[in-house]
Amino acid sequence: MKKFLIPLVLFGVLVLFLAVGLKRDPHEIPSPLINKAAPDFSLQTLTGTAPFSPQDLKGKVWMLNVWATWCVSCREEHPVLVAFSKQIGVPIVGLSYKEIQPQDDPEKKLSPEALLKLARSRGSVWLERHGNPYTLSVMDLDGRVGIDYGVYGVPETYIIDKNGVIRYKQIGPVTPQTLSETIIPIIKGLENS
Amino acid sequence: MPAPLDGHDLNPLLQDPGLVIHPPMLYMGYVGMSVAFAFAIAALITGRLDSAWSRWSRPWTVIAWSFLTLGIGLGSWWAYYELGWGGWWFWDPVENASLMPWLVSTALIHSLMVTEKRGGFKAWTVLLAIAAFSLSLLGTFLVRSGVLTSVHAFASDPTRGVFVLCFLAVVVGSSLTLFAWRAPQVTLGGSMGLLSRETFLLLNSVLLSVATAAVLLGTLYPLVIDALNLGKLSVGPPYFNLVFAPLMVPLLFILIPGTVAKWRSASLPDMVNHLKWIAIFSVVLGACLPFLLGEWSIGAFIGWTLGLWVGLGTLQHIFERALKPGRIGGSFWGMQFAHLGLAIVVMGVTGVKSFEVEKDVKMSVGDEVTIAPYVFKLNDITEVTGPNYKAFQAQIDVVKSGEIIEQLKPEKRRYLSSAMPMTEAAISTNLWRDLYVSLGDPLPGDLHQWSMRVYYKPFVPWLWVGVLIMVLGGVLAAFDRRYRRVSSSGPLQTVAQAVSSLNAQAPSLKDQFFSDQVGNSAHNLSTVQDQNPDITSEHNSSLNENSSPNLNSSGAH
Repeated sequence: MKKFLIPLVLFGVLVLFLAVGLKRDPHEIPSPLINKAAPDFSLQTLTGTAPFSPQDLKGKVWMLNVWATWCVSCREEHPVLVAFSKQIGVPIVGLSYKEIQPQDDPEKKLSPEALLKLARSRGSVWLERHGNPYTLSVMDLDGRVGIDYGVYGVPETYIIDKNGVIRYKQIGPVTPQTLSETIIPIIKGLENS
Repeated sequence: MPAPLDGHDLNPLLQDPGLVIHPPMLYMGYVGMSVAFAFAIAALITGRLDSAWSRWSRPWTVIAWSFLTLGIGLGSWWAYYELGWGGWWFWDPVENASLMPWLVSTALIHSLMVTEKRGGFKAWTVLLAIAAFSLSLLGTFLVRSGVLTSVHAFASDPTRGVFVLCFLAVVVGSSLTLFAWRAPQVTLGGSMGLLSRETFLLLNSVLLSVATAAVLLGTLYPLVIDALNLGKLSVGPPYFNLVFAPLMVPLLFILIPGTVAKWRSASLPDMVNHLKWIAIFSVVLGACLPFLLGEWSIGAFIGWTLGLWVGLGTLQHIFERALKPGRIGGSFWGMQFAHLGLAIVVMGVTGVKSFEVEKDVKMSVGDEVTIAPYVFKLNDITEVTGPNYKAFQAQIDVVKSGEIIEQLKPEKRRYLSSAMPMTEAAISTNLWRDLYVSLGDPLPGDLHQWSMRVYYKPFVPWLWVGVLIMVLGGVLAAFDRRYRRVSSSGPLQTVAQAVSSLNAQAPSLKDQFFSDQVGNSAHNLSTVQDQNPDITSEHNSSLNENSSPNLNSSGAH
């Protein structure tokens, strides 16, 4: 009798694992940058003020949010950021990521200056229309900084601590829930440490 | 959530006629297993795990197996020409999900034979029937829930996963409970010698089941590790090749002795005598072929020897049978074709694995690349516009001894609405080899220099031909008149008994589980039985050996 129960028992164990597996996301790969120093850069800002570098915010907790006007999910995320910017309470730096897409300039006629000008005007119009949660935005036109930060989809959000170390990364839009349950508590914790 | 700016189209990978054929065939295979499953459950419930049950199950199992074989073969072929990577099997979770029921149903087909002819392996056969269908359901779960990362996860959704998992738990859980409850009452079959056809079929079952378990382990390992919080990992082809190939070697070896061994007890000297010439011939030719085709390696030697062994053994069997008088049934042809197809697949796999040549090159217009004896010359790269894509198309002349034998036009497409790039490989094929070119990307800043993959793939067409022959075998076996024609068919008494008792016990069950055709022929049975009580000698003996083919019915009724 007992040996005929073996298949049932094995199946039970299998279902258990499948049920646990259902709650996991196999695509979720922990970022190797967590607890590593945030890669340094120096980029032009959206408004044309002096170039920004993460060094400028040393000693402060801050948030880096990757966005673009062509990004559909950003439109979903943006109002949330605007509404929560006060509660977040730390500088939010926008990284305008690859604003100019290949199809905008298929023959590659535009000069780098013209590209920057086009990106700035597009970004400004967009922020005017949808609200501006950012302390400032920097222009990552060629996406090099995005590569350093391991961006593989827009939007993405990073939290960087007082020592310039990345403490948290979120892929995809932040929601009121992730903000109030995860991001804001992490920021508060880092500020108090 | 704002509406997307534009529709997304069907995933470009799926914009291919393959989508119309491959999934329905696989589906027929998966769902077809439900018939064998239903027969097994009905037999467990009624306590009639007899030869009638196995006779009825066999054609249904074989036809489902044929569809599954065709589905897997088509999928492999589609991936080969559509993905532009030059491979035909990746050990992706979704591929494994279809391979596991295939392995188990292959074991089931062979095990059913022992149950029918000798009344043996009953509990094991039932378990295989349950497993084949359960693994089909598991496949559905793996593909649709998104618990594993796969290149096939075109529409995964965890919510649907919850439903499929619940369904899986209820269906498989209850059938395994039923199995644990009823299987202990199953009688054992006739005695079997250490060397007999039963032994070979038992080995077949064991090897195929172990192979299934190995594939299942590799497929679910990332999930298990993640569930235990031990990290993220993936299991790739090296693992599967390492465990799968060593299991297939003995399986292919025992195939031929299994087909010639006698039931109950076989004589070793007779079998050695019978098979020695093809054995010697296979080994000698298997050792020589790699030299002739390229480079000698132990893998190529083993692969060719086994492929030849199975192929020649099968041909010898057909030849011997053809010399004997009497009509040859569909089952016989079915078995031989399936084995012949397998032999061709084995030779194809060995050929392509051992002798393929892959070149990743950088080419400008006018450049040539040589894979002896073929020269690939890039004549031009032009832009073409398709109905919903734009593409760069390369014109490549394939030159062999100074003559242009083929023009290949691989494309790099960019689909307009999804902006997804797609590689459309160009393949030149004949019976012996494929020439395969796929266009990579232009080198940065220069549309005239392209990365390109040029493959010489010998014996790939053998895979597709072998699969088709296996499918043909399955169809021939499933439509054997023996399974349908009453006058020439098996243990009439048992069939009639089983049907009448099923009728009496559970008319609704019968309607549910058996098609009208089976029902009708069952009615015919009783009349035929009266008029024609003499039963063919083969079946007579199987009846005698198995005089009480049913369960001991104390617990059953």
